[in-house]
Amino acid sequence: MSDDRLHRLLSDAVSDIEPADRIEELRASVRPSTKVVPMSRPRSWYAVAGIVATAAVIGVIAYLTSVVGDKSTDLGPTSDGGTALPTVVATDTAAPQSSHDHGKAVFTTVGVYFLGHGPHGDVLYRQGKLVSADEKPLDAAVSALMTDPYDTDYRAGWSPSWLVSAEFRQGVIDVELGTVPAARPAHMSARTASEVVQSAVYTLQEAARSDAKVLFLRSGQAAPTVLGVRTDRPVGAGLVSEVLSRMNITRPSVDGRPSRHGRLVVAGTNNGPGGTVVLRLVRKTASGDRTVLRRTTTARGSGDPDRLYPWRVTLDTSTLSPGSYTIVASNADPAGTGQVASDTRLVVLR
Amino acid sequence: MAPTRSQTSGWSADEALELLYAAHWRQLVRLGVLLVRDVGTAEEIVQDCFVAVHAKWNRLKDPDKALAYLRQSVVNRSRSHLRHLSVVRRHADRQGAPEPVDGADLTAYDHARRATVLDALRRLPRRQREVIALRYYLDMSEADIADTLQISRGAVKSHASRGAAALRAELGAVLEEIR
Repeated sequence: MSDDRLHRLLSDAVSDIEPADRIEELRASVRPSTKVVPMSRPRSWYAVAGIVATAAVIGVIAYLTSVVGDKSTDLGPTSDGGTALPTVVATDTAAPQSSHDHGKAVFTTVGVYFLGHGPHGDVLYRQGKLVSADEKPLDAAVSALMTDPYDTDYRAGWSPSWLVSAEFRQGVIDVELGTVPAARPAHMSARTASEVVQSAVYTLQEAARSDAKVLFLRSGQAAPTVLGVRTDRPVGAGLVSEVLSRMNITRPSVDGRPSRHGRLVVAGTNNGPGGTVVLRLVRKTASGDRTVLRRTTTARGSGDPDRLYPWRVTLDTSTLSPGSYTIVASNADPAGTGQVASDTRLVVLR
Repeated sequence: MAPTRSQTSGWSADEALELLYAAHWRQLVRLGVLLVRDVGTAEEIVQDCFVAVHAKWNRLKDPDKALAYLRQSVVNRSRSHLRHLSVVRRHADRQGAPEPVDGADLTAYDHARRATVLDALRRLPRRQREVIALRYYLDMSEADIADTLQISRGAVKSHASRGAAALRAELGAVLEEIR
């Protein structure tokens, strides 16, 4: 390894770190009239405890996102009403009692439906998002709809401030709208606009564990349209076959998460010919993409066009060199149309 | 632009704080991240170093060496932090805390590569990590590193060689990607 490459490696490792601006804190710390208190001493235990707590929480996050990936096949409006959302308590063992809620941080997840590309335009992909368990599920779902997904191929349909709140009452999920336009923006297709509205319906129904319709409100009154989509009456979930991607990788749930021990568990849902899932592991090389591993598996069911069926496979990656790979999961294409649903996820093998 | 010798001597403590901050805050925090692996902690450490420099400014024999003093201070305080952290982690391990792993906010492949490098750096013995960070991130000479760490040049050479070899063994695949 040359000096130059090692230099580049280390510089790259911290190149995306932009420290917070602390000049005001510094000025306050050294102000003559202020007693200068060395910051590290009184806070060292606290700060270190915070790191451990953070590490613990991060561990929980990583664990949760993988768990969510597995659970997602059992959740959502297409299942039998959904199951209890996983909740994990991260014990902040070293932090003082006052650091967090009596030394404990509690997280849970909500399933969020994000936009992504399908063979015939935008479709929805489900992904678990970590939220504070202190939040009500519907409030958490509203917030999560307006945040970026963990998978970089997906995108949020709702911009920040487009939604305000949601409440489940009298058999209807009421959503108070924010600044979302009533008319469809010029750059947005009718298909995409419809999917954006459906993303809220699917996500909020899952959070409410109900198939209740969603009523979009502006200042308490039913909004005639949202992004040009008619919403003067409560909106129900569209058909799975029309709204959701027919292939959805749910595990790994996060792009770029390292995988260890020579085995890689990949799971998801699909609806395709014969329930067949074609799985490929692709490595980028100087000469282009190269498939280094190919497997087919069968989902636990097929036939009903408006259901997604779970699948899961464990890949032996012990013979592959460490590095970054792309998992590509596709439905079978017996007719050779090339127009099949697929989903991808980046993974780092160690 | 970094301050020059002719500039630093005439500064007041407050001026030094402002100018050193503007010139070196980001790079010193990044150095701290290479040493302690956590941005928030690195910021705390570097902030403490700036406060210390300000407090001692009028007593510094050679204000032109303020940057060298800051770097040395970052390395020493990072070392103290890691010692303390190891104690806390042992305590946490007894309590069954989850093993630290990469977070769910690692949404991109670049982030994963960077995390891999930082993890590999963290696994190096402390001295090797310090020498590697000063040598290959800050481009410091062996003599300056020896001065900063208060060790001999021979020791710097030895730590740099072993540290680089360990990183080479561990990060071969990552190196392929940045080629």
